[in-house]
Amino acid sequence: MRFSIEKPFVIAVQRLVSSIQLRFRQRSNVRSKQPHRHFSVPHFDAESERLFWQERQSENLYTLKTALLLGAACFLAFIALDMLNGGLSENEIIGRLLIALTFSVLWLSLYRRPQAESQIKSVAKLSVALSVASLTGILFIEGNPAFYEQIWIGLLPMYFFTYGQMFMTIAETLKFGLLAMIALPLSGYLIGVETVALMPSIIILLIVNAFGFCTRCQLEARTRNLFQERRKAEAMSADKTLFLQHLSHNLCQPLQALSCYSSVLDAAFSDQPCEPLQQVADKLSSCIDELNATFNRIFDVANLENGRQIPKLTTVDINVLLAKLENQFAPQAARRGLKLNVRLRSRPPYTVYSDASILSQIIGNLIDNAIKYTASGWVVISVVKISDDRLKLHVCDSGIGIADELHSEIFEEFFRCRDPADTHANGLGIGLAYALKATERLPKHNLRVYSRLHYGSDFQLCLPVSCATTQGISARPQQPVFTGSFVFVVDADHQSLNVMTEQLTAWGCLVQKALSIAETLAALAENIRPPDLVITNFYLDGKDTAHDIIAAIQADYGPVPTLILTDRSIPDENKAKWPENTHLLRKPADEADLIEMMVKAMGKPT
Amino acid sequence: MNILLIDDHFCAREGVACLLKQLFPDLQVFEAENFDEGLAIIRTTPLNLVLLDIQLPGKDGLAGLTELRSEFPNLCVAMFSGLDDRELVFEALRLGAMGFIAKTLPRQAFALALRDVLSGRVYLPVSVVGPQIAPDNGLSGATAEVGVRPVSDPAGLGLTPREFEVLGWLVQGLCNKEIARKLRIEEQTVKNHLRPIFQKFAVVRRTELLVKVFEMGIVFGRPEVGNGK
Repeated sequence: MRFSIEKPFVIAVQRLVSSIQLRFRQRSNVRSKQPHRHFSVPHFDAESERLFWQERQSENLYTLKTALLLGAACFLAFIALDMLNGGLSENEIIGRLLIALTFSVLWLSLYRRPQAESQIKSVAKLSVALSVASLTGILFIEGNPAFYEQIWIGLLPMYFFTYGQMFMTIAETLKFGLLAMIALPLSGYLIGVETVALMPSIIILLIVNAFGFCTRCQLEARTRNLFQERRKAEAMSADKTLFLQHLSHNLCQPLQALSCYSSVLDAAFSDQPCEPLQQVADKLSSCIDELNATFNRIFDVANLENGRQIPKLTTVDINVLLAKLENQFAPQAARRGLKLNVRLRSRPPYTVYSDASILSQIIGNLIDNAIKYTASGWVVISVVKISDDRLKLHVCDSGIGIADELHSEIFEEFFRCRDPADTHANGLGIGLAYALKATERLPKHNLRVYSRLHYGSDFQLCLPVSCATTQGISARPQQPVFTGSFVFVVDADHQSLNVMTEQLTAWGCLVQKALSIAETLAALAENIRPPDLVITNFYLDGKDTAHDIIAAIQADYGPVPTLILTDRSIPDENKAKWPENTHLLRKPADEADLIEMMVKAMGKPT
Repeated sequence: MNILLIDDHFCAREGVACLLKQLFPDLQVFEAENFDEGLAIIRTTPLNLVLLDIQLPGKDGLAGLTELRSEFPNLCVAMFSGLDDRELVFEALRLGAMGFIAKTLPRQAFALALRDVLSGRVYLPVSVVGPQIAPDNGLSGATAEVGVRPVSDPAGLGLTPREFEVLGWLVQGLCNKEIARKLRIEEQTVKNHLRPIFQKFAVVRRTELLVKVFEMGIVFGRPEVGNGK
């Protein structure tokens, strides 16, 4: 007996139709309230339209891939089922197998391709066309009118696929739907299915098309509205940024001028004291200083938000940073009569992996905050090691503390703990907001506060320890020959380039690395110092070899000692072209080999 | 000493000019509100230094800097901008600027920065180098000292006077050939002078050198007239 797909499918279709009818009823209710808005799919200008479809494509890639795999699996499953039940013709097997194969090929064409997203539309169209073609094809091949009942139902998954997703535009989707609706019954008619037998399929397909179309319109309208709203919000945020930039430019200029004039006044009064006016000038100066500081705070936050301040992660010596901050804040603490105690680390690790400038602003804001909200007593900054790869920085104070319920609010912009007794705590209240936002921008950093009202606060900043010092490369300070030498390393392989760089850096060399001839030229254009040694792989990307690197460096600096690394043999005629003081180093070269060759190439230190 | 201020905002320009004149009583300040107007002044007037704003109507400061460096390689140009953007600062230094003063600096720091640049010290903003331990911290709160900073002592840096001179030209962005011509020596001699400098500062690029020189607070002395015939 042939496996019949008829019964369950008919039930499914009935359910589908009834659910759509239900929705339609709900919809007609909506319609009576808002008569004009129902099918209004917003239209975009060309640029928005392009962006809109681009976004859809990136969203739909995964769905399409899944659908293709599922389609292929279904066809294979049908073959297997029919084979189990017997009586499947060879043609049918081959036909279905071909379709399953094509789907798999289409899936592969989308798999891990950078341009896959641009192919989505065509792949979707192709797969829909193929499914329809395969169904009609099977009808014709079999030529048996009795099969029609089973085969037209195969269209339903295709309808779900096209109407339920946004692979194509509405018009294209509708065209496909209607064409399929005509094609199958027509082929049925051509192989001799009676009109009466055709009618149910035509009616159901008509209904599916109609409701599919409605669903699709709704989907499109909703997606487009969301897209439009988001674009509007983005545009508004861009406008805000632009406005802020104009504002900053236009307000900063007169402020700058005010600063200059006030400096001039200050200097003039220090030459010729004039008591009453001098007081006014002092007040003026402090107002301008306050204004300046406020402005800078606002711009720091704005720069963080609009992404202008891109973190540049390097190894930062925490002691150096803290010493600078101590220097910066000591006068402010002294004016408030506070004891500022910065405890530098006395044992390793001393370095963290962070952005020196942003980190110093974060800690600076924490110290500034601590000083502002401490009326008497002390502010202590210390750094403790909490694990092998993390340091924790504490900024503790003996200040007013923060009530439990305010712990989350203190990080919000413009929040200020109001203590009527303390008039020194002037400011906008964005220092902590900046500190938190900036911390979030730095990887593996986090900021927390522990505090009780009247018992002071402890702001804790967790920092990642810089891994440069903890890696397993032997740092041999006993290589004085190389200390301070500038080595230029070229290798197309990222990993070996990094290993070599780390090794040389550990020996105290100054290392510059490049992956290609293009990177070499870019680096040379900016350099003012000739390399003391060049280490380059012989074979680079494409046709480039060490010869190109040697030529580029020689053009700028004349002959430079060179080590050529290779793991393959190099023809002798190539070696003949090498300039003097060029040596071959076979890969893999161990430390001793490298040291020996470096000494040979660079000679004794001058 | 002559300096040219190119800034489109009249208010800020006047203010800075006023402060400059007080800091350096013998200073003559020329003003221009866009680059082309500034270029006309540079072509006719001997100048020691140009302070160039980045946001300018018409040709912007970076494009102007490129043009100045090619036409007057010996003229010192320091940038002067409301934007304190790390990438922008490095771009300006790559193009040959001697320093970068952010207009967002606090009042006293701004006066000190102006004084530094006019004394021939590289000045860089906090966004590039982080907060500095000010060498004259004792003066903080007081007004900027009138007059120039003393030139650094080469011996204190472990350099010979000649090497110090070469370092100065290198910082200004001159290439070896130009330095050789300036000092009337062979190019190879320049290279010999450069070796201890590179060893000392452990840098490869000019931008890195500027950062080091700034951090060490090295003062090269008043910039010479750089656009003379």
